[in-house]
Amino acid sequence: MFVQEYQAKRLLSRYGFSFPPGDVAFSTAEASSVAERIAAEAWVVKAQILAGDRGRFGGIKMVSSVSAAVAETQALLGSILVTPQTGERGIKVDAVYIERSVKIERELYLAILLDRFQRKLVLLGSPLGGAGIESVLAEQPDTLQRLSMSIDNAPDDDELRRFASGMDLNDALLDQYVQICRGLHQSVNELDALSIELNPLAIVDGNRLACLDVKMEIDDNAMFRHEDYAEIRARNRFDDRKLRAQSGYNYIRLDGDIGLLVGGAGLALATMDLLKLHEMEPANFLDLPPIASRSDVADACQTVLESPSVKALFVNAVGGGLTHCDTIAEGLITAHKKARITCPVVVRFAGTKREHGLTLLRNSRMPFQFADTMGEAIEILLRNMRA
Amino acid sequence: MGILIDSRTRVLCQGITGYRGSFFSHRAIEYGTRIVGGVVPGRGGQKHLNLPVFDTVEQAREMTGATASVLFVPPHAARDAMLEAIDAGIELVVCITEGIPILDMLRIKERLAGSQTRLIGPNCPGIITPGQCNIGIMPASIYQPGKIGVISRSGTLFYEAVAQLCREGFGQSTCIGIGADVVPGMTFVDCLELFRDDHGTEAVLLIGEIGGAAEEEAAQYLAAEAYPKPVIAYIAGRHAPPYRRMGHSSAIIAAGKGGTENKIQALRDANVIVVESPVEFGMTTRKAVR
Repeated sequence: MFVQEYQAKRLLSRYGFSFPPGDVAFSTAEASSVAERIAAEAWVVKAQILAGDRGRFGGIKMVSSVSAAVAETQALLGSILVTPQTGERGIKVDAVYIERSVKIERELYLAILLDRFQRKLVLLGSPLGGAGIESVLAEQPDTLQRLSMSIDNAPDDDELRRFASGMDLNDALLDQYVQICRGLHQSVNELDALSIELNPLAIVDGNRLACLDVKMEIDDNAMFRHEDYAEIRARNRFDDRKLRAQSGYNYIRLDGDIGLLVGGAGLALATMDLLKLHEMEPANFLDLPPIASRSDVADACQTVLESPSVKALFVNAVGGGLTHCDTIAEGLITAHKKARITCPVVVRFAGTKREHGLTLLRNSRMPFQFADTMGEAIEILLRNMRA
Repeated sequence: MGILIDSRTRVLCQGITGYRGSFFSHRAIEYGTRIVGGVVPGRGGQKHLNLPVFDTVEQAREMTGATASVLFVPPHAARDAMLEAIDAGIELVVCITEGIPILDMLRIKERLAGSQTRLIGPNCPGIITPGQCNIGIMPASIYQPGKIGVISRSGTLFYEAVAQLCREGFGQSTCIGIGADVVPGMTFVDCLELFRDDHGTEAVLLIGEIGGAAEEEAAQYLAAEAYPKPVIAYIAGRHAPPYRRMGHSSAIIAAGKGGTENKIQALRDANVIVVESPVEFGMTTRKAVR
């Protein structure tokens, strides 16, 4: 999961990074007291959303008085921010981060992350940084430095200095930079982070490196060893597309009209591809895990049908793992009992307990349409959509 | 023939007394898999499914001669269970567990590098040599012995593909679900190397998906190797919903890699026959193999 800037800065406070003084505010009253507490000539008020490019799209405001900080907070709270990373619908602002404004002499880029291609932990650094970093790097790819590293052993000083030597820093700043790299390696290890991006990492006051913004993703799989992450997750339940990811299946709402209830991510992706090949549009992505229970299936079914654009439901399941076709059949029947399903439902079962699953559905007297293969299912769906 | 496992393979189950370990061990035994014992710390000396249970993998290996182990342990215990199997010199570890922290897998990867162990998974359905040995959670009844090797990142799409192969009259030499995690044990390339040298395998079907670079690496390997057998591939996710992103690091590191079109092109360039639609696994294999 991604974490908000203020949450990331709190989590990272133990690792020797230098952040400008600041704090989160959920109301104008809190904004006023935060701004007063931070002695400053100027403040930055930053919308807390789980997306980047805030600065260029109205999410970051510079102010030079406490009252202006309060006014900007009032304007931001409750507003919807749309940036290239939020999707078209945008994200509602529930909190702002208020920090002391610093004079930036130069912006750098530094990130540590799991390289999903090399399957290694890697440091990425550039002497250039800031909001436009992707296009800057596209034009000047040679400025990007990479350093792969072991998870258990941080690189030694020589390796880090060689990496840092591309950042155009004087000796004092270079020492700080190496320390920041060490802090990143340690924090990834201790916090189970998948990425920590310091952008910009800025030279301020002539001889100091300060982390002005942090983007951080932590590994959902590691929740069990971090008690404090439950609260972060609870606070960040903003994203309707993944809101239900905790309830045993992945659901992402899309714009089409064919609801999909599919077992397994690979088959779910293939089913979407198949619909598109036949010029039909999926209303959602949804994959049931191989351990989904009857109630998971019923809940998933209701979630899919909640979308008003759904004109037909396609249930595509290959029984395997612990989720067999009969479990899926029972889930469908449970969902129908709770809220009658009125659209056509095309069911294609294969694999473990196929016959039993089909028998349950036939006996339910609900209006299912059955297909033996995915190809047949597509034909039935096409007939339904033309009707 | 087939790779990695056959009817003689002696298999341990780590976590055999749990619900899943118990359920799938029972099914494997019914299939004919030689499950020879279980490992559950603190349960040493007990019997389960009429099999001896040991406290450690080391003891179990010594007493049973097992060379393979399948893990049905919860995510928080998976790292240590895998390390234990690696340290005990188990040759093939199959980890079914889903939800293992990625940093744990990076550590496992580093440990595997200097070991004699091969790891399948985690977050995978397992491995089967039809008619001989089934390790994992796959619905064994759909598989038939034959000459197609199958490697898949996905589980359920894998079953779909196998069902289509069987409808076309193609059995399988060995089927391996390598798992969908970001940091897996064996990769497409590792499996392709083994299938290359297996006399029982005539062609290989590879089922990939969007994300990562495993398919691109496979393409690179196949091209460099002038691979001697036909390879057929399907890549799921052409129309996958876009990833949520925050910040720039994921885009910088990807630098255009990982998309389905990129993968498909790389595979085509390596003379791989690409399955266009997920209803055409059987048909396409029929065209590729005479």
